[in-house]
Amino acid sequence: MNAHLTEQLVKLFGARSSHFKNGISAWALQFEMIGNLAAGQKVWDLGESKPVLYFNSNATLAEYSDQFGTTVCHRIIPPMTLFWSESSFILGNTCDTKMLCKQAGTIYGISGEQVKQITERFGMGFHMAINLTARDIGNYRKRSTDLCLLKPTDRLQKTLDSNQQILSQISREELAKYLGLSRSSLFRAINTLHDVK
Amino acid sequence: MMSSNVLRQVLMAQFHELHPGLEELMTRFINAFSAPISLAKNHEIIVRDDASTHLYFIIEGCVYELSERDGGPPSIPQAYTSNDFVFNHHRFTTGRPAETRYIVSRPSTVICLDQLTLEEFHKEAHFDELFFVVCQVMLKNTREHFIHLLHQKPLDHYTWLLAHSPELCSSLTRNHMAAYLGISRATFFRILEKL
Repeated sequence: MNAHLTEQLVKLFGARSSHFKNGISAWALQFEMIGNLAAGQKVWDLGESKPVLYFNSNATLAEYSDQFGTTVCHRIIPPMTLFWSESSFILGNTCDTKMLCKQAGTIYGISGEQVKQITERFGMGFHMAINLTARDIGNYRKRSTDLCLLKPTDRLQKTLDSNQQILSQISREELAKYLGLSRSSLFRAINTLHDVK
Repeated sequence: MMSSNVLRQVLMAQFHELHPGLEELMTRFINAFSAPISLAKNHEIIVRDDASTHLYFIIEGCVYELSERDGGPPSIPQAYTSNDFVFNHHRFTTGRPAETRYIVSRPSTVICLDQLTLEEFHKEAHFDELFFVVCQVMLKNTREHFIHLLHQKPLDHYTWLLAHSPELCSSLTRNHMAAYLGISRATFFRILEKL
């Protein structure tokens, strides 16, 4: 677990990772098990304060935003990845989404306070915070462009290319909302892809 | 002077506490921006394949980001109005030159921090804390647009924009507004008829 976690942390620092080697190792050691999650269990909920950097070891998680009267799954967290509440960990507010476990597994975490302490001790500054934010901005820009430009079949194909398991991770209704489609458009897109194959 | 105050307010809104060292750095950062620059409609502040990292702050006006892919329809991934930062996002998030153009949609006034000055600031201790705040503001905008695209039908999205961002609605042409909402021109005209 530690090697995978360190690998993910190193990616956050990019070219500067060798400079912050000791700090990254200190971070990796401070991650503690949050719990073995069962399907349906929440990692965080709307209105909670969760300034935590999480590492998903082997669960599958889905993040839901609840705005304008609709609940939409907008992000899937696959195993062996870091994740965080943008609203709480990056923007310093309470959570404006909820994160649910879809397939059982174990997650780990380090509190924002511990991150801050190690950051100060090793002189790491806000480089990780900036890189996390840049990553979030990049992801949202890509998703927004896909929503605006891609036809339903292409949206589905692109999503399946990046995550082949998504059809078994969330319901068809959730997938339709994730892709910004109606249920019937999603089924047409699935049939089209099926026919092409 | 007025533009400095506005910029300070935007930055301060994100800070929960500001230690004395950062206060001085923030003052120098704000003062390093240019005097207000008037830009004409259709002026491009970031051109395609641009690798520059000048940081703009809109005092008054509107800038939209235009993406034109080979053969495909144009799209507007983001639009910026008064009190928004404009940055070469593709360069910032991927390290590669801009794939889009940032175009002034109506006569606008901006202040600009030259990329060389920004690079000098990056060498200073604690500047990353201040720059993180700029990144937070940019994330909020990008995230908000995505959430609207995902949650709202185009009609609801446009109605929301009319109520909450009238400056944007009056600054973009109908073609550009359609692209911003992720719909065709014909669909947007049907929405206008309904309203």
